[in-house]
Amino acid sequence: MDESVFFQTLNISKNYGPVRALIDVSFSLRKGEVRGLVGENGSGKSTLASIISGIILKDHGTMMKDGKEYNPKHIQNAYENKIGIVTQESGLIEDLSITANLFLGREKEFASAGFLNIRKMNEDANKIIFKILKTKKMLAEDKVKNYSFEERKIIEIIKALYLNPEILILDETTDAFSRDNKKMLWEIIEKIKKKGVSVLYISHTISEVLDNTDRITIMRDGKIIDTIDSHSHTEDDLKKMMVGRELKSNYYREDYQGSFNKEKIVLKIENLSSKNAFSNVSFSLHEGEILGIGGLSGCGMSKLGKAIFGLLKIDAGTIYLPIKNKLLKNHTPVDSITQGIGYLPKDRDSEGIMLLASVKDNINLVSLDRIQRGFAFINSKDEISVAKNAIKELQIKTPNIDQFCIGLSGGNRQKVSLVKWLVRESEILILDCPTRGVDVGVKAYIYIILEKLRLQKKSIILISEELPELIGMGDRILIMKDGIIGSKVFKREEKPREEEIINYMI
Amino acid sequence: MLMRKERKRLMLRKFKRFVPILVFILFNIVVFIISKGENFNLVNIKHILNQSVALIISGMGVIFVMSQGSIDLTQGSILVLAPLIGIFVENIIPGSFIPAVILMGLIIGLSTGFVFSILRVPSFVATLCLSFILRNLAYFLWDFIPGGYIFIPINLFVIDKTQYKIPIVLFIILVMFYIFEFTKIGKYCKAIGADEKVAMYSGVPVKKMKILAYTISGTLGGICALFGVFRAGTLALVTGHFFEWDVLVAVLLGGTPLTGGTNSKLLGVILGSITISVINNGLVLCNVPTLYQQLAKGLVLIIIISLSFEREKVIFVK
Repeated sequence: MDESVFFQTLNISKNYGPVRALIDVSFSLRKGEVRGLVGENGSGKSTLASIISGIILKDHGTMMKDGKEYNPKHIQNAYENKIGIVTQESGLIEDLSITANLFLGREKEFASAGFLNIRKMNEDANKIIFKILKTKKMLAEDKVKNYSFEERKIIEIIKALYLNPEILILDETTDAFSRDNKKMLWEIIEKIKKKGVSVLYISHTISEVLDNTDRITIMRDGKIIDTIDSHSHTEDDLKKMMVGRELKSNYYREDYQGSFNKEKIVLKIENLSSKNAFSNVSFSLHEGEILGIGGLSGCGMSKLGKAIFGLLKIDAGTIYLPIKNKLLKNHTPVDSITQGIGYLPKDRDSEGIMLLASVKDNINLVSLDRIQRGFAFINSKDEISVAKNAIKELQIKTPNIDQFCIGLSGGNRQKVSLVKWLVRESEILILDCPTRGVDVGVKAYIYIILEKLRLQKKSIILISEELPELIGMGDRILIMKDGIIGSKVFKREEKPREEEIINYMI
Repeated sequence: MLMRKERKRLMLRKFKRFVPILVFILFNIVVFIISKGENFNLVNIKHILNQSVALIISGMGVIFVMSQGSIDLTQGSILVLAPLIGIFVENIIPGSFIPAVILMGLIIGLSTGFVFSILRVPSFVATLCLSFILRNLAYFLWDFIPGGYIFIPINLFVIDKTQYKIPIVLFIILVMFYIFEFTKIGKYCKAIGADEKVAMYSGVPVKKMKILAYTISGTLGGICALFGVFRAGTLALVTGHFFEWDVLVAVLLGGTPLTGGTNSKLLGVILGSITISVINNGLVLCNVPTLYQQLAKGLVLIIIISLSFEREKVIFVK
């Protein structure tokens, strides 16, 4: 055995009913290494991370840490063994302050005579935050709910670091980070690595994993395929290993030339403004066009999507549907849907799908008024056939249509979230980061669907933080910065380059 | 090894499904022995069914609210206020008692819905407070009853006869079953319970549906009040005291979780209502002192609910 290995798992297995999530996984980690863990959705990455951190229990196998058997029963055991994890889901209590979250379960350290020294707690928390972030952007006294998703994840990372972990597991948390925060994160990782901390970094952003890790473990269908050296492999190698078949490195249609109907405008936005979000936004969407809107997270593009769909108050400007000669004013999602607009939200789990409802109910929800017959009758046979067709059409992996969505993997949840609008046959689709948190396989699949929709003359507003995605899919690309859309329009036929677009974003 | 374990677990789960029924049967056997078989004679069974009718009708409305994850506690006060106002209206326009009471239920439900969704007060607090207000309104109106005594049109008492009552109740159950399981309304209600935000993002008119659910609940409360007065023949200020809690438990016993959602079961309300009536009736037959009846009822119910609760399907117990 390798001398430097200080943590390993031996033949770990985990079953969920008939589904085999992990099959005889043996995995080892050296001291002070940064390890990437990649694989498609549902390949078992998160399951492995959750078992290591005691969130779920293994069925078989053993784990060793520092030569001793390590068998966590719950997450507290992992903390005691100096293993920290930041999960995909939120691990903070929103209604408490950052301080209270940081010191949760360790309040005793600040107690005297039965009282908590809140001031001391806040002081210490602020010191810890400043030590890591080097800025005073966050105030420990603030409630967590005042911070964005990205900032909350940073707080979680700070919390995990505060425990002085020997192993730090980051499970897909940072995929949505902005450039600045990612840079900061990697600096932090570099620093703790020097102190001998091992980092397990789970991500879908393969290029990033390649650039920043020492070694990479690839998982597929609950098994470890290989562990490779990061520096001697390319992105294509990794993708091939993840999917188990050749995958074209560029799944975008480079040969395609923008061919939408330039005469037919389906949506016209003029001088749209919303307080604290965006101002004076104007653009037109044509039939059969994919209009990309890019920018940094927090630039207002997500809010723009919400506002068009009727989820955000509009202070000025107009949304006009020329074909139907309809002006959307003070509209609600109900009005938008009636006018043929669909909206795929960015936050899939809390806005896109009902986790505690079946796949069938989720798929049918927006189309109920379509499938109802006389006397408002909804035939459950219709519902079933709609759901079955949708599952077949998008190759959604689910044991049956009555499966609750909480039991699906991220990629399949995303497909459910998208397919309901396809079932509804929406003419205009607003997609906010449609490939966020999904693996390359599903990603490629979603692009194929968008391509199909374009051929069916549907119009799509594609809001995305990923430039390759915008360049690859968009017929035209608009860039938003601080709530304002830049005057420069990037056209597909001009083959815009990433470096060129970035200049307009920052 | 694994297969056997899995099979054992499945067996256990199947068995668990029957445990509440076993407890229920056991309870009946105990009552049977103590009351020397009185609980199984025809008169008593009819009595039990009669009692459960009120719970069933009310529960059929309340489930629309509860499937959204909210609560309606105004049912008990509707039972007294709606007929009371009906008497006033009857005095002005003779023959309008029945529509007046139903309309009154509808209006109360509508205003409950408005208070809840416009003022954005949690449903538990909103409807609890409203139930106080409504009952107090009844106290106030009591002094102004026309003629000074409760007069309910005698010719309407026929509705309490079995041959009219059963078809009416069956009709109500069928209509409600249809609306709840086979129309947009029911499905939207469940979607709101499953995830209100997603429902809104998916084009469910959440506010309207909330008001509608309370309106349905209130209207059925009105119908329930009618059966109540025709059966009792009169109205008292204590009519319907604690009734809302029985309805709540009946819906819960029927398998609808407090959080609402897609597991809400309308037909379960019938089962839940009958269970409660049987327990109420059994305790009386066993001569359990009134002082201890609430205690015994509470104990039996908590045993049945804790045994029948499908924990696998619920993540958080609130």
